Amino acid sequence: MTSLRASNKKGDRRDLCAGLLLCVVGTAAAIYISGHYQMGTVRRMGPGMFPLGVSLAVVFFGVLTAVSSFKAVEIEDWWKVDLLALGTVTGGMAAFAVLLPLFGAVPAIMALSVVSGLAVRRSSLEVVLLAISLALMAYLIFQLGLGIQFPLLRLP
Amino acid sequence: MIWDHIILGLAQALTADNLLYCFIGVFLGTLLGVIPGIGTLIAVSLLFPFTFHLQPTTALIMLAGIYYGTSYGGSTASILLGLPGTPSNAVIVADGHAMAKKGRAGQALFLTGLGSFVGGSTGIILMMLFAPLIASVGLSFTAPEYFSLMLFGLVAASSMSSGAPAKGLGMVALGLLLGTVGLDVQTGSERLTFGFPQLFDGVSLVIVALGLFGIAEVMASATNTDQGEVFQKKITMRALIPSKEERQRSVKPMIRGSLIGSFFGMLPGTGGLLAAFMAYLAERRFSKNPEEFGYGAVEGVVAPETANNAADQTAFIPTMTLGIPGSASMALMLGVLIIHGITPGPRLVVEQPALFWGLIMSFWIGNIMLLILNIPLIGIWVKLLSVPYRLLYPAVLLFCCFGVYSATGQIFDVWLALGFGLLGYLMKMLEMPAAPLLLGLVLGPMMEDNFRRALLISRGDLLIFVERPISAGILLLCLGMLLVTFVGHWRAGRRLQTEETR
Repeated sequence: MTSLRASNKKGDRRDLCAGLLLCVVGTAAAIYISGHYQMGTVRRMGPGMFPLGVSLAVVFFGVLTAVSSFKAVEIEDWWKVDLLALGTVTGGMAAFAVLLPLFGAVPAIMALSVVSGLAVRRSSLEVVLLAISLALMAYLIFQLGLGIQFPLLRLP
Repeated sequence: MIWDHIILGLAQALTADNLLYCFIGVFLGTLLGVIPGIGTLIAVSLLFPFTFHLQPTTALIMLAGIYYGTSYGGSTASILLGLPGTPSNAVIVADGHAMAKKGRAGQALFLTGLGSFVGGSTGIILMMLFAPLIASVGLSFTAPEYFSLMLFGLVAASSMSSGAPAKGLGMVALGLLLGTVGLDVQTGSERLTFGFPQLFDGVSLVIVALGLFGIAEVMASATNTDQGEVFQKKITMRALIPSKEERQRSVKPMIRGSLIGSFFGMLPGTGGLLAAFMAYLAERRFSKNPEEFGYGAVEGVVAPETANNAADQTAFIPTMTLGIPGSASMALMLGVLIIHGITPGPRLVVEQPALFWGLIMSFWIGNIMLLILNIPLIGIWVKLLSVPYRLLYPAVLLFCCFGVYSATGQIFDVWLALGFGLLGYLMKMLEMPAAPLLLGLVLGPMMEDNFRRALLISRGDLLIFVERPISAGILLLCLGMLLVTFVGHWRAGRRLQTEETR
């Protein structure tokens, strides 16, 4: 759990990180844009002018966020990541994206269900039932109900 | 004049197709609203692919139904579970759940349903009265006015978001940057696509919304086993009828809630959450026994629910009449309309009255349906709430993946959604608000277009934005709002510091 601790020495590191992140993204975009796209004139703007202006705005507000962060209250433990939830959900989605074009929807959905389901302890019966019912649901809703065409099962 | 419009609208809204999809919309909206963690944004973007094959008017009616259906449903979770179904129902959690614990759950649900209807109706009436007026003013707007108006919407949205104002503005700018990805409309050259042809049409709004809100939420909460206390007692029809005292105590909060909600709904950057919160504060101030608030005060449940539904309806006024969405969920509605080939704005109101008034009349029908739907079906919603989250989240994830995939049929979009999910997770960690980013993404292309056109009119003279009186006035408002926000934030920071040194 995050805990509030009153201490104005360290500042809110989240704001600092957020500000720096904005700076990095904005700077990278500005460099890329000015190297690749034409600016044109103010009267007839080229494709690069508006994006460049916007990315400079990102940098500006990033600096402002980072600077103003030194006055805020420190929050502890904000960086702690629930690796189990993050990893299983990411893994489940990645499995879906990899398997769908190779083997079709049913294996992809089952993989999504099993991998993302690892976040919580459950019985093997529940794992099987969940995978089957999700695959069935997707078929009923998306293919039968909405008429979206996708291969259910395919051999590579 | 207005009767012609009403009849025209009814003729549209009462066709069999539109009635059916209005019903489906409010039903699914309520269903998803009841589930904690699924708010309006996720509900609309999850169900958006379902509207692809529909006529634009029908699709609009259904999406609007989902939109206002979620906040009806959200109150159910707040009362029975003690967890907000959608963020704008968070205010009533304390009082609503306390009422449920005292055995007054049925009455609380009935009164919030009725309050939602009253608030929604007020909002619709205001929309019927003011929308044509605002649209007729909007017709005289040209590129510089539109640019300033959009800037105002963005500034308002970012300054209302929590945390440092600079952070909100940074997120808006990031959204604008994201909005420039794709083919440049005026020159036809690609921008920031990094060679991916899938990005030529820009980054899809639905993917960003599902990633930042839906997938990121599942990533953060998959291991969460905290279910809240499900209210298990069966709710009979008789338990719905409020006592005479409860009825009397609800009348004025409903009226006040309607007015407060309608007002805040129209303002850019505010939306249902702020409306509900303000209504709650107002009730506590007006109340003779403010100490009851937080422990099951009827007023504290009725007024916020009335207010957020009123705000949901009036939020359509700037979106439909000027094409300027005030909140992230309205931005999503606008984006979805654009994908359907409808560009909201004053010309839509004038040139396509059938669509516009059809939508408004469908609001009436939808709200009546919700009133009927919610009260007898409470039993079903209660059952739904007892489905554990560990079974629910894989299904939500699947719907996110499939929704994204079925919209375009490209697996690339699933990867993109995963990327935005991870970004959303990081943003949650760093407390970077996602709503301003979404608003920037939607408004970005329109803003750039109007900016370039304004400068074309003025032959490259930037002063055009301050030489036009309306545009200058709006820009002054922006400046004022920025000043107020930054000074307010600075003061709050100083107060915190002086308290600490004591």
